[in-house]
Amino acid sequence: MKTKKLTLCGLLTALAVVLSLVERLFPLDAVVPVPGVKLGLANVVTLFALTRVSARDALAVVVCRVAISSLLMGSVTAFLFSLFGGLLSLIVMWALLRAEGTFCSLLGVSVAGAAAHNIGQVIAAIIWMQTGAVVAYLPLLLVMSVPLGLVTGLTCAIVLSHMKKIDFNV
Amino acid sequence: MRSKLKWGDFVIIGVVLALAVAIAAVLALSVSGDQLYAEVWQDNELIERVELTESTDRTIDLDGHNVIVLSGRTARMQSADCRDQVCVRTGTLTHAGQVAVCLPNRVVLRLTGDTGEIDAIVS
Repeated sequence: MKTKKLTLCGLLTALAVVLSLVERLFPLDAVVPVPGVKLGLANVVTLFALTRVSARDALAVVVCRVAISSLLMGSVTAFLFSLFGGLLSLIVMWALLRAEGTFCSLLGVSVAGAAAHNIGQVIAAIIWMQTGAVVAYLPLLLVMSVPLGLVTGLTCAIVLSHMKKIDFNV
Repeated sequence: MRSKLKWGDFVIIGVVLALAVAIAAVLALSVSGDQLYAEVWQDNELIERVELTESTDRTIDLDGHNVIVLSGRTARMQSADCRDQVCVRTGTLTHAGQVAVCLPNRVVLRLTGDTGEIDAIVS
């Protein structure tokens, strides 16, 4: 059982890294005039890990994904921002998932996670730049996190329902 | 299907949008006056503060890392040697309160009015 879980986490991490790489090939901010905006496909993996594995394993997947994708294509700054965003998003989604089904659906959880990701990144940017000027980017990013969070949440919900259909349990 | 919307989803979306509007409103209210200044910060130090008028035409080159163009009452980050290019994609700044930030080079270009103290409000 332990080996199975370890394998699954490895697979999820690999998937998340690939999704981050693919996402970089199609920069969303070239189409939508919001600087720094990203689809956040890796968030689908985080949400999936939170719902189907455990919070501890989801944390491991997020930290490994951020470390590996920063090594592959980023810089020290990218690592810092992704880590802050990823961790804050993880905490918020973990908290909201407890109320999923009664208070909200996976879509709401995903939107909150996307918003938290942006807030985490801006907090990291404020620490890095030592100035609050970066906050000016936040309103548009927050507005965008609603449609983008809905898309990633829907993706995760579809994956989960397919897995239920084929009776595949992890 | 776990994507069936519940009332809490609308609460979450509402909170996110309200937060966006609140931050935008605070930033918009924190600037005033007819004068427009372009400030260039690097490593949290003020490098340049230029008043923008209709006849402004200047290029500021930060050792080739970032090139800033001030033209009339507008300012933009023309080029940056970083990978993400977020500051360049921010485009042309025309109003007080707008900023273009280059995170890798720790450069901030921002327009302020007479009392544009964003820092004071944030901290």
